[in-house]
Formats: sequence, structure tokens, C-alpha cells
Amino acid sequence: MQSMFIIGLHLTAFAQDTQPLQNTQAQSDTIKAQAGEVEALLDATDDLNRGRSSHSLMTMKVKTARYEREMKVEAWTQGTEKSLLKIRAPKRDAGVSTLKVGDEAWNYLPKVDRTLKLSASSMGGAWMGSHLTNDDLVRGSRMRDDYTWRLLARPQADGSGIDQQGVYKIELIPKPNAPVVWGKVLVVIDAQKRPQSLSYWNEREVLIREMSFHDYQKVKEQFVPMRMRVTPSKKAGEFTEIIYEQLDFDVDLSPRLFSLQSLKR
Amino acid sequence: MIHTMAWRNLWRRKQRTLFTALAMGVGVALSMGSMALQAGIFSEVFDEMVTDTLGHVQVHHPKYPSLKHLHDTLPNAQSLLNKAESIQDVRVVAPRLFSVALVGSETQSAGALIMGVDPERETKLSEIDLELISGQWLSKQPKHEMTLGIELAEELGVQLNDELALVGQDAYGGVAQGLFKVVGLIESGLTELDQAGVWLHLTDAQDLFALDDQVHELIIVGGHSAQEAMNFGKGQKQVQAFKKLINTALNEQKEGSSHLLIQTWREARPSVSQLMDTQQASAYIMLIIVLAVAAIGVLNTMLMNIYERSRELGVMLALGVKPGQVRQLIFTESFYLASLALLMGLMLGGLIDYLLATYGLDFSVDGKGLSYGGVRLSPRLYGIFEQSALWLSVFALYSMTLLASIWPALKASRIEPIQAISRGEQ
Repeated sequence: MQSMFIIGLHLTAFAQDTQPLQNTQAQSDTIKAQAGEVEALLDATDDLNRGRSSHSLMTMKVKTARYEREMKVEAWTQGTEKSLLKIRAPKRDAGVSTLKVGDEAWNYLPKVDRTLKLSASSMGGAWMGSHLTNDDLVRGSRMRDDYTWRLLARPQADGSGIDQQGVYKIELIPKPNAPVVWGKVLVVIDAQKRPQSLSYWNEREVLIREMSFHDYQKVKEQFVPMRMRVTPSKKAGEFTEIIYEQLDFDVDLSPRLFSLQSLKR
Repeated sequence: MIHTMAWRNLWRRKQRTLFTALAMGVGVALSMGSMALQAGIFSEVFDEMVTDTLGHVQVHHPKYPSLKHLHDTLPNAQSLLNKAESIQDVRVVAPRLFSVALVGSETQSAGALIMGVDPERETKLSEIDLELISGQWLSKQPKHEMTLGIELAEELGVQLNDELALVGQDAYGGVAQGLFKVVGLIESGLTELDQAGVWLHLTDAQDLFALDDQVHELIIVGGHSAQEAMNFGKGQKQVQAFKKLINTALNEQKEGSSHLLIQTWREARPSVSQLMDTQQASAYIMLIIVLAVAAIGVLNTMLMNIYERSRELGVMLALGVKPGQVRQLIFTESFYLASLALLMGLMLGGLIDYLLATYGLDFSVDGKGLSYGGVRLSPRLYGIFEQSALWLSVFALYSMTLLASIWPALKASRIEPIQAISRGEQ
């Protein structure tokens, strides 16, 4: 689910970065042209998850060296700022909910009837035992401020069409004072302008994890990945997979849905 | 002949002899007392630490002691427990599950050390129910009850029958959440437990952390009675043999590697083991120092003796008494002096031991016992008379005296008769 936000947020970041040239020293014509192309590309891909709102039901599969388990999660999102997740199964975790509004997030625990605000120190912690962190949930909204981009590759046009193998590769480097944990992020988008993967490196240039997007389907005129996978690079065989069972965009959501009261419901 | 002379010589200076003997006697008495107290402390620590907490033998997942991961558990805990209990010589087996969680009242929350225990078996092992200062111990059946450390309860502002939320992480990384009713408050005397300890029924804890039929630790105590259990753990050989027995019964060898880590308490907590050994050694060092000081008194007395009697010794040597006989005389005098000292020392030391054993000593600070190696001792400690300590005192006294007499004896035997006699005339 978070990865949903993340793609959304990444793409939003590109799209809204209307003056990417400010990030670069040289301002040659080629770069200008490139920036325009990336911008257009990002604008287009940005629409992918730009539904004003969404409602979904997903299965989260977590596989680690020790166990494999599945959760059913219902989610509502409003733009990139607001989201609400409720675990529906297994019974043990049913009702555990996470609300995100802006940069803040809360967990609700039904068995003890407690709402816990996610503190700065708990941000690095895994969300419900998955390979996604709480940080993924909240930090996303600040990505546009945090990174500068560089286009590394793009599909080769050979006159007749777009090279099937070609992809866009965009490298993101955090700005000097950006409060991010990553040292580098690589975004890969295919020629059909569908995001393929996001790779995350730490500050010592060690690959930490990869998110990949699969099974694109058309939902309300948009192609969206129905399956996403997060693979930690250090733990062989481990991954978290999110599979959308249902996904709907532009649904009518009451603003009250994203409140602490509805978190408990 | 020599004995008569030595005995008489000793009494030529009654006061000096008596005071020297008394000084040594007090030394013996003090070390007897300190050894008795040491034995008392040792026994108390041993009882608290080994018999009640560490057990004689511990069983863990091989990685648990070093990594403390929630998921490094002993699987099939119930059958393992049954198996352990059926081993001959096993007196108590206590299963434990450990974790950390946030414990929260309506307004406050604090970090807590969660201990899932079998209420019945745990009390057999550690008698923790005796440390309750209010309320009661956990019920035999899991009823979502908790007991918690007194300082933690005060920090949270909770009372008996309040409901507290426990929130943590379960074995799958999901949320461990549960409401528990406070049934008892515990003052163990151990800071860590009083400030953060939360005890739950093992089954409740297993539910909470998604660790069905799993535990982190089995504590095993051997011996048929409490007294026997105590002796059982002290002997290195016995406890090793006991460990072997348990290892054979519980550990299945799979592809050459064992799936259970089975350790004696000394292996599991080398620091405690070392602390106890060091303490024991320090008691001996104390004895030697006290007696060495007394021995210097002996040396002084004997040297004075010889100095005063140099003319007399010179005459003896001149009359044909062999130097060896003179040395023998001096050693014999020292022997009688030491015996006199021993007599006084035993009477005085016996009295001290009796008083220590009967009335004990108040070691309390602010009404609480001292903390020793992570164990809270009783406020009042009692001495324990041990025969070995007595024999050690006797041996140390005689050997010290003998050592202190070597020089005076040599000196006496090397007296030049002519010089000594002529000087004596002055």
C-alpha cells in the first residue's frame, strides 16, 4: 500500500518539479530538451495514480526466512496526503488501522482501544512485520523537496517506434539537507511510461531494497500495477508482495473518513 | 624436656605472652567471623541466584542467549517440559517467555519487561509469590491477569484490579496487543524487575506474542529437597553430570548439531559464577592478612624474647646444647604461643559465630537489603559456621606462627656464646 503512495509521490514529485533545470549547473539546449521530455514523461506517468481518491482491497503477502503470512488490507486514499488502512484478516490483527494525514500517522489497536501516534523513533520500524517501514508511509510526501533528479537513460527512438527494451532511468540524489535515509534512488520506467521499479541505496552506496511493479491493468482509464513487490537486497528469498483484489479511483470519500474517530471504527 | 622449658619460658613474661596470644586470637576470631558471614552471604546469594533464578541447568534456543530474538524459541514447549519433568533427579522445571512491550494505563505508559511464566511452576522455583506486597499471584488458568513491579505500578499510577494495555511486537512483526487486569504488585528488591517487570500467565503471553507452544527458557533445578538442591548446584561435577543427564534426555542430535542449548548456571552466567568464586577467594585473603599482622606480633615477641635471653641462650650453647635444639626450643615456644592464641581465638570466634548465626547482622540500607551481583539480599544476614573455615583458621594460624618463628629461631641458634655472655654481664 505504501508503495502505492510512493510511486504516486515520486511521480508527483517529478511532475511538480516544474523547474528541474535549477538543479543543474549547465543549461544547454539538449538538457532543456531532456528536461522537457522528462517532465512530459513524468506528467504523463504522474496521472497513473493521480486519482483524486481511491478505495482498494489488497492482499499483503510477507515472506521471510522464518515464515510466510498473508493479510487482507482495506485502504482509502485521498490524493497523496491522506490515507487510511484497515487490516481485515487474519483475525488476530483484524481492526488494526493506520491513518496518515500529511506528515503524521497513527496506529489504532482495537483490542486495547488505543491510538498510538507514530513517533520519529518508530518510523524506521516495519509496518506490521512487512518489508515496508512506517517511514514509507509518512516521509513520502516530502520527496519532492528531498531529491534532485538526473536522467540516465531513455528508450532509443529508431524512427519507426520505441525500442522494446528501452527504459527510462532516472536517478534521484537527496538534496544536501534533506531528511531522508537513502543515499540514492533509481527509478525505472518502461517505454509505455509505466514504472517498473524503484531501487534504494543507502549513503554508502549499498543497495538496500527494490520495489517492483507488475501486472498492469486498466482501471478508470489508467494503467496501474495490480501487484507490487518489495525485496530487501540483503535477505535472500524475503519479500513483501501487495496484490490488489479490488481497486477503484475517483470514489466519493467523506473528509471525515481521514480522522482519528473513523480510525477507531 | 624441651616442652617443659618452652612452656615455662612462655610464662616468664606473662603479660607479653598473653597480649601476643590475644592479638593472634582476635585475628583468628575475626577471620572466623568474617568467614561465617561470607558463608552466610554466599549461601544467600546462591539460594537467590542459583536455586531461585538461574536454576542448575538452563535450556535455550542456541541463539537466544546471545541475540535475544523473540523468535528464537524452544518449540513444542509443552512436550519438552513434560519430558524434562520426567527425568530422574529433576525437582523443578520452570518455562519462561520473555519480551518487551509498552504497558499503558489510560494516561501513562512505560516500557516493560514481559515475563510469561507458568504460575504454579514459577512459585515452586522462585517463590515469587512471597514477594507480592499486595494482591495475589497469577491464577493457575490464563485469565488475562498480570502482576507488575511496584515501582512500575507507581509510575503508571495503577492499583489492583485496574486494566492495563500491553502493546508490542509479535513474533511475526505484527502488533501484540492485549488488556490485562492487575492482580498483584511485586517488590522483588531487584531494581530491574521492580521498575519494569510484568508477569503474565505463560499461555496469555504466548497468545500475545503469537508464540503458541513456545518458550524462551526452561529452568531446571535438580535434587530431591531444597537443601539437596542447594548442594546439588554448588558442586561443579554434580551439576555437570546433571547437565549431561538432561542433555541426553532432551537434545536430539540432528545432523551433528544440537537443537537445544543446555548450560549449567555457571556456563550461562559466568559473571555470577566468577563473582562468587572471587568473593570466596577474598575471604581467604582477608584471613591471611589478619593473621599476617598477628604473625608480625609473634615475630616481635620472639625477637624480644631472644634478645632478652641472649645471655641465657649463650650459656646453653656454651654448655653444649646444639644449635638445632635451640631452634627446636624456639619453635616449640611459638607452637605453645600459637596454641594459646588458638584457644582464645576459638572461644572468641565461637562466640562471634554463635552471635552471627543467632542474631545476624543488619545490612540494610533504608530498610532494604544490599544488592549483590544483581540479587537483593535480605536486610539481615546470618553467619554460617563451616567446619572447613575452622580448619582453615587453625592451619593458617599455625603456619603463620611457624613462618614468623623461623627468623628468631635461626637468630637464637647462631648466637655467639662468648659475645652473648659477656654482653649479658654489662
